[in-house]
Amino acid sequence: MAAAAALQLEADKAKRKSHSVLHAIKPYLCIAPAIVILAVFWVYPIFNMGYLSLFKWDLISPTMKFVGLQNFQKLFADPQFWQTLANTLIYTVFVVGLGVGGGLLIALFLKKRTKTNGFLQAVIFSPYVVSLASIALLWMWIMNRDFGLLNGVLGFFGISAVDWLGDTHVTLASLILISVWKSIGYDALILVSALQGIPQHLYEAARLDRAGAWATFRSITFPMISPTMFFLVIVDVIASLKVFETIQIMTQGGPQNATNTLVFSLYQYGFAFNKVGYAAAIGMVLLVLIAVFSVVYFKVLSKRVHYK
Amino acid sequence: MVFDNAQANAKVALDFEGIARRRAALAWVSRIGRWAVNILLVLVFFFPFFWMVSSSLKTLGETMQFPPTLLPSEPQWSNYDGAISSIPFGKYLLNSVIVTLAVLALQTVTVVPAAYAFSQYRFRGRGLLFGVTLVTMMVPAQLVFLPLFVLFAKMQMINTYWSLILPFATSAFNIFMLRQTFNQMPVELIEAARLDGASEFKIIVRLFLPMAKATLVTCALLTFISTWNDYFWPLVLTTNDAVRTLPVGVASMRASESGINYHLLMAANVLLCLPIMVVYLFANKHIIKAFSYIGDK
Amino acid sequence: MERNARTVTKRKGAGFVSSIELRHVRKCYENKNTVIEDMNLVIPDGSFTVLVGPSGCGKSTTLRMIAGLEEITSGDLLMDGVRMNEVDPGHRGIAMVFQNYALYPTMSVRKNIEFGLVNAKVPKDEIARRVKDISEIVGLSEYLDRRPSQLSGGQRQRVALARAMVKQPQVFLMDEPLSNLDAKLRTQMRTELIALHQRLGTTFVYVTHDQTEAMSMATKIVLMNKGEIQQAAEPLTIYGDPVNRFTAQFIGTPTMNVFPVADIPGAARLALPANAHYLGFRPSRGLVLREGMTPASHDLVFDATIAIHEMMGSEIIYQAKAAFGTVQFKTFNQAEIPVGEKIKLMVERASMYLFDENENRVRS
Repeated sequence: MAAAAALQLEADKAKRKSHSVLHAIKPYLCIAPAIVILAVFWVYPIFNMGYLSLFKWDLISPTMKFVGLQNFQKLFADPQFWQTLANTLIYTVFVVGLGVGGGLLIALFLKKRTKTNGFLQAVIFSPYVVSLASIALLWMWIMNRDFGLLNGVLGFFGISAVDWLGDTHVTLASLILISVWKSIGYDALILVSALQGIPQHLYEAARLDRAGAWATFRSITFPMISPTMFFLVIVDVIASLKVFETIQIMTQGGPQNATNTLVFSLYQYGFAFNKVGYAAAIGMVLLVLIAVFSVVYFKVLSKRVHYK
Repeated sequence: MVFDNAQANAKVALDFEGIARRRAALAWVSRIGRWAVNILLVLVFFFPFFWMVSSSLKTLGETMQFPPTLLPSEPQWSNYDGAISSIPFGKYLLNSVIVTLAVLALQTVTVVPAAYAFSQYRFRGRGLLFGVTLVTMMVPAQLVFLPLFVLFAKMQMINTYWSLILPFATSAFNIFMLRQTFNQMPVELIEAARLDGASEFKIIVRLFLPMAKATLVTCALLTFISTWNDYFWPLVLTTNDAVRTLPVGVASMRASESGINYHLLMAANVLLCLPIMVVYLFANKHIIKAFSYIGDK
Repeated sequence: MERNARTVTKRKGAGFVSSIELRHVRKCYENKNTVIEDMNLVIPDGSFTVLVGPSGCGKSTTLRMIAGLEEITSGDLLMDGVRMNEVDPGHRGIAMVFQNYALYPTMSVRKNIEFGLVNAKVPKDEIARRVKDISEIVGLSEYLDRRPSQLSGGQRQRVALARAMVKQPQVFLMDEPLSNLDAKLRTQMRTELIALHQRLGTTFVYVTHDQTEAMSMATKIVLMNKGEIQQAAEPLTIYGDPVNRFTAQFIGTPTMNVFPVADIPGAARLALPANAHYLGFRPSRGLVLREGMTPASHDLVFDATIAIHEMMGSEIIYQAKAAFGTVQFKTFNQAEIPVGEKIKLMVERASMYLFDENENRVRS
């Protein structure tokens, strides 16, 4: 009798133990697929790229030649690289500046919750939803030097045609214009949300305090949306640094390197010129830039959570 | 200085009667101004799409007119046939569908359990692993494509569907969003369900998933849009047409030796935009709200 | 500059007139919703007038029309006899304290208080002097450089008050300023506001849904319901001589007992006027019939069984079941009447309030 009871006790304990083992590994089972995918495809390649940047390789031969920091030395000595970097930075500054600035003006215009404003928001946001490839192809047509819509409109006002995508002085500006057109709807949307989050009573108190439109904007509206604006700037900067599609589709980095950017250069050296190590070095530069802004982003994110 | 209030009031009231009259008189100016800006915004942001459709219905000759005409004299619907036949359109379309659906399916399987585990379980390393997940949110495809191309090449997986699907089989952002939503489940509800004898699976299916419906739809919408629209990854990870998706396929139409046939290109472009535009037409409020969450987080 | 006439130093008893009058004021919203049909109200100078009533009665709307934050659809708003409908809120010589304080979150306390004066181009040294005085009066001197988010609810309320006071307005408007405070703080602030009113002598217009607040603070109560003024009078008058059933039952805790005359057994003996359809009496006037008490012929006497009693400390509130409904009454002695005990209650003729079929007061 006692033996049977003892056996039962052992069986129960074993069952509980196996249950608790199952219980213990359950969370790891749940996160494993996701973590594995992230590790293999998004963490490992970063380190691998650092590794590749120390070698010379043409992607085809079975061996790579270790060259240490030589790729970086060549890179920083190459004037084309500095032009590329400058292009990327100029592009970023203007796209973000015009996008957030213009987005703010549009947001101020559309902040009242009316049917018309809702409709307009949807219209302005539509370029953002469409594929970047579609946008690039469309604007390639619109900016066509001989038959495009833009030059047609200019001609209507008596202005001579502009070679939007072929003139070295203009091309980068054209790409900036296209990017702003695509993403200003997103900037405006975020800012409209921020503006609508400002309690109405503050504006009433301001009216009672004799604050005019400018004083109200400067002392109340702008300070209250500043955190969101800052956030938006960081997000937009990180997005702009990786510009590639419009260049690959429309200008191929030209004319004469005027629209070469970091990612396009990376692509060219890796796939067209078969200089994998050199390309990886360019990638590392991009990594540093993105990492810096990401750190700022996370710092601001944690501060915002703290504030609330 | 001592002042008789009635006198001061009277002066202020008089001033403002004048100001009010002026404001009323100028009200129509601001109304016209507002409508002018409204129309300008619609022109700037919608007209290019109109132009795309209009161009897609012109003849080759009409597209080469300068100054360009607003509308074709006769809509050339045959352009669409021309566009579809000038590239392996059906194959590209099929590839887009396969990749998008596969990504959505795989993400459901990887994201939901991970988000649930990060939200509801306590386990060693949870903080660190979630931190890693957060960090990978910031890693763009443009930084990892080169090493991954090398990796896939070594495994002879270039030009297979897997090279397009696997890296996106999960999404750190979606895990983050869903975990956030799961965190909002009141503990009392879970405890009450447990007291009622519900198994964990039942709790997930009956409590968590319905509560997270809005977030799930949002994540699915965002993933659908970004996967369908993706140009970069299918471009850099494929060397032939075997698994190329629609955006890459349509863009390849511009590389013709005889000069670009813009009427056909625009027709193809319209077809490329169409699925997204249709979804946008029906779900724009939801989509817009989905994107605004990214700014809110 | 004449504009600065608004920011004049007020001296007690200097005889300023800052009364407010609403004449035939009507308020409609764009969706054809008429909230206020025809309001006529005089707010006397120097009074502490409380607009009180249930949610949605229009008291806040009225306050906001006085402030200029809501447009007056038709009718006149007069301050000191001058029509002020078109005047911007900032130029009406008023200051307002909001329910949620509406402090500017990105500015320091000091900047919050100064904002109005800075915009009115008051000279810097004058601003500094006033801010210093006000913060001493209100007790904020240590917090001047903090942000509102770093303050407690009570402190934020003081900042809102200081911001209003520093403008030295003719009229203070307050929209439920105490409702976000806990009970203890609320009673404390109540006394402080009364003291403030006594010291400044400025007109106060105060909105609340709490009738206790209204009764304790007001020199004049304006009771509103569904956009109409039910009664506008001194607190004692509103309490003792209500003009209709709504007023009678809104003011006073616990609520006045009101029953249809037809339901009361023995009502015929009371010789009530023919148009008396309802009879009411305050809980404090329901007397337990005891030895030695002789009810008169027109006093009401009825049976009741004790159902619930609440011990309030200084008084006991009972709910007793009578033939015509549940009656609430109070006693002030400590002897508790047990639940279930059958008693007789008496209401003296003089304590009765009679209402006609339209629930208007019948005075006999």
